Amino acid sequence: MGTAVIIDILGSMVIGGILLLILFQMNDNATQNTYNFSGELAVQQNLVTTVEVLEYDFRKIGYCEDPQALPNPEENAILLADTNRIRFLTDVMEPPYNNPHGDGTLDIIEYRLGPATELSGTQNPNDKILYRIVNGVSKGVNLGITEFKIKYFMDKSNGKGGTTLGEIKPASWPIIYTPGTPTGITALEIDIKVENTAAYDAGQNPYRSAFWRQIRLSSRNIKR
Amino acid sequence: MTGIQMILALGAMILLTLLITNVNKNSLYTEDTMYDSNFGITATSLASSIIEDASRLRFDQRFYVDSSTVYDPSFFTDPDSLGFESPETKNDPKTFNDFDDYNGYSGEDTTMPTAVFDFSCRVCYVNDNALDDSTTTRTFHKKITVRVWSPFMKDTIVISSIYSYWNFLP
Repeated sequence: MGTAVIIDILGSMVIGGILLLILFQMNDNATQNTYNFSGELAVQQNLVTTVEVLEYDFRKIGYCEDPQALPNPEENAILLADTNRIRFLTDVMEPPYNNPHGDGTLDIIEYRLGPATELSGTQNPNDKILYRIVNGVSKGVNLGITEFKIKYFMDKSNGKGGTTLGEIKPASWPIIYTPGTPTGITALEIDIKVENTAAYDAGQNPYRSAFWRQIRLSSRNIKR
Repeated sequence: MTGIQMILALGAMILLTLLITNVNKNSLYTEDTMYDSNFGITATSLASSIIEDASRLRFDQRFYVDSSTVYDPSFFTDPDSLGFESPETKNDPKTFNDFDDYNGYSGEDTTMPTAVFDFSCRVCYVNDNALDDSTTTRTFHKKITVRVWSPFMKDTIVISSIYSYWNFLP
């Protein structure tokens, strides 16, 4: 075997090795992309689902199919306000779901964000469970929520013009409202951030995230 | 290595290069679409926030002049005069006191963590039998159309909402 043949064999081995490395890298990138794109899709779907449920419930703060059951909702509807927790009176659909607006019986809904330690089993250290508690029955689902902030606003307008809203900033949270005492809350600002519960090569890559901010969510029943 | 072998090797390399380029292109397209969709969600939240903010206000400036019930839409603001009135300030929604003050309202939102968004609003009267078209006559229905866009988005988000005046008959 001549020197030229040996050089040919060695050269082809080097080029073949480089090609193999390129293919391995491409395969790794394809896997990472699939992981990221699926994760991004899941994050966006989770965010939209959360927002749909949340805004539907929040718009019905102080609503009751039987108005006599909840007189003066602007005074009585919100029971507890906190930066990541709220409890309010509303009317939810109950089985057998004959009336889509509610059954005329007052219900208490509470939303609260659990601690991150509850989900220590997931790769993402920041994800938390958002609990929806209806009449004391808690249901929580891990949708990768890492941020759930509520700000409360009161109307500072004089009734003639200008609709300035002032943020309610108490000395300490939460505020527990006594029924019959006006809460002053006329609008809410909600921030929600959802992240993937896991990421490809989590140490090197950030978790995919999506953000929603409803700057002024105002239930018709609390701003009368 | 013969000439034919050389050509075959070169052909293989070109095919491999095309394959890798194509894979990268598809990957970047998907990434681009995902980011666009992500910005779209935030832009939608901004648009719905503006609509929500506008819907808190009274239907018309008229109710600050005379708070009695209106049965005839001709009492409302002239369609050509929809927009902020003195002493309100353009692009300062804190000074707005009725729904149509949002006509011509535009600005830039830098508070969102994902991107900077620009927005503009238009308010017009609509007929209840043709909600897509604006009308030059006063009606009991006003439509707000909010456009939100960003240099990072491929397209503009457009969201509309109808705000109607109603009252219980005596």
